[in-house]
Amino acid sequence: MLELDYDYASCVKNSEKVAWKLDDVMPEGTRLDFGRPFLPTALSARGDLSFLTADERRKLNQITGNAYLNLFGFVEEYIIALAVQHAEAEMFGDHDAIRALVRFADEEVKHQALFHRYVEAFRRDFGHECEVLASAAEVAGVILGKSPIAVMLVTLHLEIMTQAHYVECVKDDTAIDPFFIKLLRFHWMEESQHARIDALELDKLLSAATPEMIKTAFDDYLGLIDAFDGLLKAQAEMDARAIARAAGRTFDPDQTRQIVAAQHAGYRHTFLVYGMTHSTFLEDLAKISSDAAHRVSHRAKELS
Amino acid sequence: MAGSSPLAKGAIDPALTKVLNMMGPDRGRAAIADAMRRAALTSLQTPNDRLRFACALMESGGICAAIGRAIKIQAILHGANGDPSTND
Repeated sequence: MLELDYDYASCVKNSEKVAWKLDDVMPEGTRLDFGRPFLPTALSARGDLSFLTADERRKLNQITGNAYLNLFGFVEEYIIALAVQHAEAEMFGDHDAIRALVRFADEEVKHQALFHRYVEAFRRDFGHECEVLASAAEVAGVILGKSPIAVMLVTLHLEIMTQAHYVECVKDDTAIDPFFIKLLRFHWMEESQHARIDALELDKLLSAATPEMIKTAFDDYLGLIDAFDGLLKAQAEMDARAIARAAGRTFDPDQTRQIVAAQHAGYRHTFLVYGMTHSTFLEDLAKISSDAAHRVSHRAKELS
Repeated sequence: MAGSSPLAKGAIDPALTKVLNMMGPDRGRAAIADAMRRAALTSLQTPNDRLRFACALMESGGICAAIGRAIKIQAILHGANGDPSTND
Protein backbone atom coordinates (compact mmCIF):
# COMPACT_ATOMS: atom_id res chain seq x y z
CA MET A 1 0.00 0.00 0.00
CA LEU A 2 2.76 2.49 0.89
CA GLU A 3 4.98 1.45 -2.07
CA LEU A 4 8.24 1.52 -0.09
CA ASP A 5 11.57 1.18 -1.91
CA TYR A 6 13.59 -0.15 1.06
CA ASP A 7 13.50 -3.20 3.32
CA TYR A 8 14.51 -4.31 6.83
CA ALA A 9 17.95 -5.51 5.72
CA SER A 10 18.87 -2.09 4.29
CA CYS A 11 17.69 -0.44 7.52
CA VAL A 12 20.01 -2.67 9.53
CA LYS A 13 22.95 -1.88 7.22
CA ASN A 14 22.37 1.86 7.48
CA SER A 15 21.88 1.63 11.23
CA GLU A 16 25.26 -0.12 11.59
CA LYS A 17 26.95 2.60 9.52
CA VAL A 18 25.79 5.48 11.71
CA ALA A 19 25.80 3.82 15.17
CA TRP A 20 27.31 5.84 18.04
CA LYS A 21 28.05 5.44 21.74
CA LEU A 22 26.34 7.50 24.42
CA ASP A 23 29.60 8.40 26.18
CA ASP A 24 31.14 9.61 22.91
CA VAL A 25 28.30 12.06 22.34
CA MET A 26 27.79 13.25 25.91
CA PRO A 27 30.32 12.00 28.46
CA GLU A 28 29.11 11.86 32.07
CA GLY A 29 29.65 15.17 33.82
CA THR A 30 29.45 17.29 30.64
CA ARG A 31 28.90 20.94 31.63
CA LEU A 32 26.32 22.89 29.62
CA ASP A 33 27.01 26.32 28.13
CA PHE A 34 24.16 28.78 28.66
CA GLY A 35 25.66 31.58 26.55
CA ARG A 36 23.43 30.94 23.53
CA PRO A 37 19.85 29.86 22.84
CA PHE A 38 19.34 26.11 22.46
CA LEU A 39 16.48 26.00 19.98
CA PRO A 40 16.05 27.80 16.65
CA THR A 41 13.30 30.41 16.44
CA ALA A 42 11.15 28.06 14.34
CA LEU A 43 10.92 25.60 17.24
CA SER A 44 10.54 28.11 20.08
CA ALA A 45 7.75 30.09 21.74
CA ARG A 46 5.35 31.75 19.29
CA GLY A 47 4.20 35.14 20.41
CA ASP A 48 5.36 38.65 21.19
CA LEU A 49 6.67 38.44 24.74
CA SER A 50 8.04 41.98 24.59
CA PHE A 51 7.91 42.34 28.38
CA LEU A 52 10.79 39.86 28.66
CA THR A 53 14.37 41.15 28.53
CA ALA A 54 16.83 39.65 26.02
CA ASP A 55 18.42 37.64 28.84
CA GLU A 56 15.01 36.32 29.95
CA ARG A 57 14.12 35.37 26.38
CA ARG A 58 17.33 33.38 26.08
CA LYS A 59 16.55 31.65 29.37
CA LEU A 60 13.02 30.84 28.22
CA ASN A 61 14.47 29.40 25.02
CA GLN A 62 16.82 27.22 27.10
CA ILE A 63 13.95 26.09 29.34
CA THR A 64 12.10 25.15 26.13
CA GLY A 65 15.15 23.30 24.82
CA ASN A 66 15.36 21.27 28.01
CA ALA A 67 11.64 20.45 27.80
CA TYR A 68 12.04 19.62 24.09
CA LEU A 69 14.63 16.94 24.83
CA ASN A 70 12.64 15.67 27.80
CA LEU A 71 9.58 15.32 25.55
CA PHE A 72 11.59 13.09 23.22
CA GLY A 73 12.68 10.97 26.18
CA PHE A 74 9.04 10.98 27.25
CA VAL A 75 7.60 9.62 23.99
CA GLU A 76 10.48 7.18 23.60
CA GLU A 77 9.06 5.32 26.62
CA TYR A 78 6.16 4.00 24.53
CA ILE A 79 8.25 3.69 21.33
CA ILE A 80 10.65 1.30 23.10
CA ALA A 81 7.73 -0.87 24.22
CA LEU A 82 6.26 -0.69 20.71
CA ALA A 83 9.49 -1.75 18.99
CA VAL A 84 9.94 -4.67 21.40
CA GLN A 85 6.32 -5.73 20.87
CA HIS A 86 6.74 -5.69 17.08
CA ALA A 87 10.06 -7.56 17.35
CA GLU A 88 8.40 -10.21 19.48
CA ALA A 89 5.64 -10.59 16.87
CA GLU A 90 8.34 -11.33 14.27
CA MET A 91 10.09 -13.96 16.40
CA PHE A 92 10.65 -17.28 14.57
CA GLY A 93 9.87 -15.52 11.29
CA ASP A 94 11.68 -12.74 9.42
CA HIS A 95 15.17 -12.42 10.93
CA ASP A 96 15.96 -9.16 9.13
CA ALA A 97 12.82 -7.63 10.64
CA ILE A 98 13.77 -8.90 14.10
CA ARG A 99 17.25 -7.38 13.80
CA ALA A 100 15.92 -4.06 12.56
CA LEU A 101 13.31 -3.85 15.32
CA VAL A 102 15.66 -4.91 18.11
CA ARG A 103 18.25 -2.34 16.97
CA PHE A 104 15.45 0.22 16.81
CA ALA A 105 14.50 -0.54 20.43
CA ASP A 106 18.14 -0.46 21.57
CA GLU A 107 18.74 2.88 19.87
CA GLU A 108 15.63 4.37 21.44
CA VAL A 109 16.74 3.25 24.91
CA LYS A 110 20.09 4.93 24.19
CA HIS A 111 18.39 8.14 23.01
CA GLN A 112 16.28 8.16 26.14
CA ALA A 113 19.40 7.74 28.27
CA LEU A 114 21.07 10.60 26.35
CA PHE A 115 18.13 12.93 26.94
CA HIS A 116 17.84 11.97 30.59
CA ARG A 117 21.56 12.71 30.96
CA TYR A 118 21.04 16.09 29.34
CA VAL A 119 17.99 16.95 31.48
CA GLU A 120 20.01 15.98 34.57
CA ALA A 121 22.91 18.23 33.48
CA PHE A 122 20.43 21.04 32.83
CA ARG A 123 18.97 20.60 36.31
CA ARG A 124 22.51 20.75 37.77
CA ASP A 125 23.87 23.70 35.72
CA PHE A 126 20.90 25.99 34.97
CA GLY A 127 20.61 27.17 38.56
CA HIS A 128 16.81 27.21 38.78
CA GLU A 129 14.27 24.44 39.11
CA CYS A 130 12.58 23.55 35.79
CA GLU A 131 9.69 21.11 35.91
CA VAL A 132 9.23 18.69 33.03
CA LEU A 133 6.56 16.09 32.23
CA ALA A 134 7.25 12.97 34.25
CA SER A 135 4.40 10.48 33.70
CA ALA A 136 5.98 8.73 30.69
CA ALA A 137 5.02 5.18 31.68
CA GLU A 138 1.40 6.16 32.31
CA VAL A 139 1.18 7.94 28.95
CA ALA A 140 2.87 4.98 27.22
CA GLY A 141 0.10 2.76 28.59
CA VAL A 142 -2.59 5.05 27.17
CA ILE A 143 -0.94 5.23 23.73
CA LEU A 144 -0.34 1.48 23.50
CA GLY A 145 -4.00 0.89 24.39
CA LYS A 146 -5.05 2.43 21.06
CA SER A 147 -5.35 0.54 17.77
CA PRO A 148 -1.97 -0.76 16.53
CA ILE A 149 -2.26 1.15 13.23
CA ALA A 150 -2.93 4.40 15.12
CA VAL A 151 0.08 3.82 17.37
CA MET A 152 2.26 3.27 14.31
CA LEU A 153 0.85 6.41 12.65
CA VAL A 154 1.76 8.50 15.70
CA THR A 155 5.22 6.97 15.74
CA LEU A 156 5.80 7.65 12.04
CA HIS A 157 4.59 11.22 12.60
CA LEU A 158 7.12 11.69 15.42
CA GLU A 159 10.03 10.14 13.52
CA ILE A 160 9.43 12.16 10.35
CA MET A 161 8.97 15.31 12.43
CA THR A 162 12.23 14.68 14.31
CA GLN A 163 14.18 14.46 11.07
CA ALA A 164 12.51 17.57 9.68
CA HIS A 165 13.34 19.57 12.81
CA TYR A 166 17.04 18.82 12.42
CA VAL A 167 17.32 19.14 8.65
CA GLU A 168 15.02 22.13 8.15
CA CYS A 169 15.52 24.14 11.35
CA VAL A 170 18.59 23.12 13.39
CA LYS A 171 21.60 22.01 11.38
CA ASP A 172 22.45 25.32 9.67
CA ASP A 173 21.50 27.65 12.53
CA THR A 174 24.73 29.37 13.61
CA ALA A 175 23.08 31.32 16.43
CA ILE A 176 22.22 28.38 18.67
CA ASP A 177 24.33 26.29 21.05
CA PRO A 178 26.68 23.98 19.05
CA PHE A 179 26.41 21.20 21.65
CA PHE A 180 22.62 21.19 21.33
CA ILE A 181 23.01 20.91 17.54
CA LYS A 182 25.41 18.01 18.03
CA LEU A 183 22.91 16.10 20.20
CA LEU A 184 20.17 16.56 17.66
CA ARG A 185 22.50 15.55 14.82
CA PHE A 186 23.29 12.22 16.48
CA HIS A 187 19.62 11.70 17.29
CA TRP A 188 18.64 12.43 13.68
CA MET A 189 21.25 10.03 12.26
CA GLU A 190 19.55 7.03 13.86
CA GLU A 191 15.99 8.31 13.63
CA SER A 192 16.24 8.24 9.83
CA GLN A 193 16.20 4.44 9.96
CA HIS A 194 13.45 4.42 12.55
CA ALA A 195 11.09 6.31 10.24
CA ARG A 196 11.71 3.67 7.57
CA ILE A 197 11.10 0.81 9.98
CA ASP A 198 7.88 2.52 11.13
CA ALA A 199 6.72 2.71 7.51
CA LEU A 200 7.56 -0.98 6.93
CA GLU A 201 5.65 -2.00 10.05
CA LEU A 202 2.74 0.26 9.18
CA ASP A 203 2.61 -1.21 5.68
CA LYS A 204 2.45 -4.70 7.17
CA LEU A 205 -0.41 -3.75 9.48
CA LEU A 206 -2.29 -2.08 6.62
CA SER A 207 -1.94 -5.10 4.36
CA ALA A 208 -4.65 -6.97 6.24
CA ALA A 209 -6.65 -4.04 7.60
CA THR A 210 -10.33 -3.53 6.85
CA PRO A 211 -11.72 -0.05 5.99
CA GLU A 212 -13.34 -0.02 9.44
CA MET A 213 -9.97 -0.70 11.13
CA ILE A 214 -8.41 2.14 9.13
CA LYS A 215 -11.18 4.54 10.14
CA THR A 216 -10.78 3.57 13.80
CA ALA A 217 -7.02 4.06 13.47
CA PHE A 218 -7.41 7.64 12.23
CA ASP A 219 -9.98 8.40 14.96
CA ASP A 220 -7.47 7.09 17.50
CA TYR A 221 -4.57 9.01 15.89
CA LEU A 222 -6.48 12.31 16.11
CA GLY A 223 -7.52 11.45 19.67
CA LEU A 224 -3.87 10.92 20.59
CA ILE A 225 -2.96 14.25 18.96
CA ASP A 226 -5.52 15.99 21.18
CA ALA A 227 -4.29 14.13 24.27
CA PHE A 228 -0.70 15.08 23.43
CA ASP A 229 -1.80 18.69 23.05
CA GLY A 230 -3.05 18.57 26.64
CA LEU A 231 0.38 17.42 27.80
CA LEU A 232 2.04 20.23 25.85
CA LYS A 233 -0.20 22.76 27.59
CA ALA A 234 0.83 21.30 30.95
CA GLN A 235 4.50 21.70 29.94
CA ALA A 236 3.83 25.31 28.89
CA GLU A 237 2.40 26.04 32.35
CA MET A 238 5.50 24.51 33.96
CA ASP A 239 7.67 26.71 31.72
CA ALA A 240 5.85 29.85 32.88
CA ARG A 241 6.70 28.97 36.48
CA ALA A 242 10.29 28.15 35.50
CA ILE A 243 10.96 31.45 33.72
CA ALA A 244 9.57 33.37 36.70
CA ARG A 245 12.04 31.55 38.94
CA ALA A 246 14.91 32.04 36.46
CA ALA A 247 14.11 35.73 35.95
CA GLY A 248 13.76 36.26 39.70
CA ARG A 249 10.54 38.22 39.33
CA THR A 250 6.80 37.72 39.42
CA PHE A 251 4.81 38.09 36.22
CA ASP A 252 1.28 39.46 36.47
CA PRO A 253 -1.60 37.13 35.47
CA ASP A 254 -1.84 38.57 31.95
CA GLN A 255 1.90 38.19 31.34
CA THR A 256 1.76 34.64 32.71
CA ARG A 257 -1.14 33.88 30.38
CA GLN A 258 0.87 35.25 27.44
CA ILE A 259 3.90 33.12 28.34
CA VAL A 260 1.76 29.98 28.61
CA ALA A 261 0.01 30.77 25.32
CA ALA A 262 3.30 31.42 23.49
CA GLN A 263 4.92 28.28 24.86
CA HIS A 264 1.87 26.14 24.12
CA ALA A 265 1.63 27.51 20.56
CA GLY A 266 5.34 26.81 20.06
CA TYR A 267 5.08 23.22 21.29
CA ARG A 268 1.93 22.65 19.22
CA HIS A 269 3.67 23.86 16.10
CA THR A 270 6.86 21.91 16.87
CA PHE A 271 5.40 18.55 17.91
CA LEU A 272 1.96 18.41 16.30
CA VAL A 273 1.52 20.70 13.30
CA TYR A 274 5.07 20.11 12.03
CA GLY A 275 4.43 16.37 11.75
CA MET A 276 0.80 16.58 10.61
CA THR A 277 1.65 18.91 7.71
CA HIS A 278 4.93 17.35 6.63
CA SER A 279 4.77 16.33 2.98
CA THR A 280 6.32 12.87 3.56
CA PHE A 281 3.77 12.05 6.26
CA LEU A 282 0.84 13.43 4.26
CA GLU A 283 1.88 11.48 1.16
CA ASP A 284 1.86 8.27 3.22
CA LEU A 285 -1.55 9.14 4.70
CA ALA A 286 -2.99 9.86 1.26
CA LYS A 287 -1.93 6.39 0.10
CA ILE A 288 -3.89 4.90 3.01
CA SER A 289 -6.99 7.10 2.71
CA SER A 290 -7.39 10.46 1.01
CA ASP A 291 -10.32 11.29 3.30
CA ALA A 292 -8.23 10.55 6.36
CA ALA A 293 -5.32 12.64 5.05
CA HIS A 294 -7.78 15.49 4.56
CA ARG A 295 -9.04 15.09 8.16
CA VAL A 296 -5.48 15.29 9.47
CA SER A 297 -4.71 18.40 7.38
CA HIS A 298 -7.92 20.03 8.59
CA ARG A 299 -7.09 19.31 12.25
CA ALA A 300 -3.56 20.68 11.71
CA LYS A 301 -5.04 23.95 10.44
CA GLU A 302 -7.25 24.18 13.53
CA LEU A 303 -4.20 23.69 15.74
CA SER A 304 -2.10 26.29 13.87
CA MET B 1 -12.49 -21.27 8.43
CA ALA B 2 -12.98 -23.13 5.18
CA GLY B 3 -10.48 -25.66 3.76
CA SER B 4 -9.40 -29.20 4.54
CA SER B 5 -5.79 -28.79 5.69
CA PRO B 6 -3.89 -25.63 6.62
CA LEU B 7 -0.72 -27.12 5.11
CA ALA B 8 -2.27 -28.71 2.04
CA LYS B 9 -1.24 -26.45 -0.83
CA GLY B 10 -0.59 -22.85 -1.83
CA ALA B 11 1.05 -20.28 0.42
CA ILE B 12 1.30 -21.40 4.03
CA ASP B 13 0.07 -18.90 6.60
CA PRO B 14 3.01 -17.03 8.21
CA ALA B 15 1.81 -18.16 11.64
CA LEU B 16 2.24 -21.79 10.62
CA THR B 17 5.59 -21.03 8.97
CA LYS B 18 6.89 -19.94 12.37
CA VAL B 19 6.03 -23.36 13.81
CA LEU B 20 7.62 -25.22 10.90
CA ASN B 21 10.73 -22.98 10.99
CA MET B 22 11.37 -23.75 14.63
CA MET B 23 10.22 -27.34 14.99
CA GLY B 24 10.97 -28.81 11.59
CA PRO B 25 8.41 -30.38 9.22
CA ASP B 26 7.46 -33.49 11.20
CA ARG B 27 7.20 -32.15 14.74
CA GLY B 28 5.85 -28.88 13.36
CA ARG B 29 3.01 -30.57 11.45
CA ALA B 30 2.09 -32.59 14.53
CA ALA B 31 2.08 -29.49 16.75
CA ILE B 32 -0.01 -27.57 14.20
CA ALA B 33 -2.52 -30.40 13.86
CA ASP B 34 -2.82 -30.68 17.64
CA ALA B 35 -3.33 -26.94 18.15
CA MET B 36 -5.80 -26.68 15.24
CA ARG B 37 -7.83 -29.54 16.69
CA ARG B 38 -7.88 -28.02 20.17
CA ALA B 39 -8.88 -24.64 18.77
CA ALA B 40 -11.57 -26.27 16.57
CA LEU B 41 -10.06 -24.74 13.42
CA THR B 42 -9.42 -26.18 9.98
CA SER B 43 -7.56 -23.16 8.55
CA LEU B 44 -6.35 -19.71 9.56
CA GLN B 45 -8.34 -17.02 7.78
CA THR B 46 -8.61 -14.11 10.21
CA PRO B 47 -6.57 -12.50 13.01
CA ASN B 48 -9.00 -14.05 15.52
CA ASP B 49 -8.34 -17.52 14.02
CA ARG B 50 -4.60 -16.91 14.53
CA LEU B 51 -5.22 -15.75 18.09
CA ARG B 52 -7.18 -18.91 18.90
CA PHE B 53 -4.53 -21.07 17.24
CA ALA B 54 -1.78 -19.26 19.19
CA CYS B 55 -3.54 -19.76 22.52
CA ALA B 56 -4.01 -23.47 21.79
CA LEU B 57 -0.35 -23.80 20.79
CA MET B 58 0.79 -22.06 23.98
CA GLU B 59 -1.02 -24.67 26.08
CA SER B 60 1.58 -27.22 24.94
CA GLY B 61 4.33 -25.34 26.79
CA GLY B 62 8.06 -25.27 25.95
CA ILE B 63 8.99 -23.98 22.52
CA CYS B 64 5.32 -24.15 21.47
CA ALA B 65 4.50 -21.57 24.15
CA ALA B 66 7.21 -19.23 22.83
CA ILE B 67 6.07 -19.60 19.22
CA GLY B 68 2.45 -19.25 20.27
CA ARG B 69 3.23 -16.02 22.11
CA ALA B 70 4.82 -14.52 18.98
CA ILE B 71 1.82 -15.56 16.85
CA LYS B 72 -0.56 -14.18 19.47
CA ILE B 73 1.15 -10.76 19.51
CA GLN B 74 1.18 -10.66 15.72
CA ALA B 75 -2.53 -11.54 15.63
CA ILE B 76 -3.37 -8.77 18.13
CA LEU B 77 -1.33 -6.25 16.11
CA HIS B 78 -3.40 -7.22 13.09
CA GLY B 79 -6.67 -6.63 14.87
CA ALA B 80 -7.51 -9.82 16.78
CA ASN B 81 -9.49 -9.13 19.90
CA GLY B 82 -10.85 -12.55 20.87
CA ASP B 83 -14.34 -11.55 19.78
CA PRO B 84 -15.45 -13.93 17.01
CA SER B 85 -18.11 -11.51 15.82
CA THR B 86 -15.68 -8.73 14.82
CA ASN B 87 -13.22 -10.19 12.34
CA ASP B 88 -14.15 -13.81 11.92
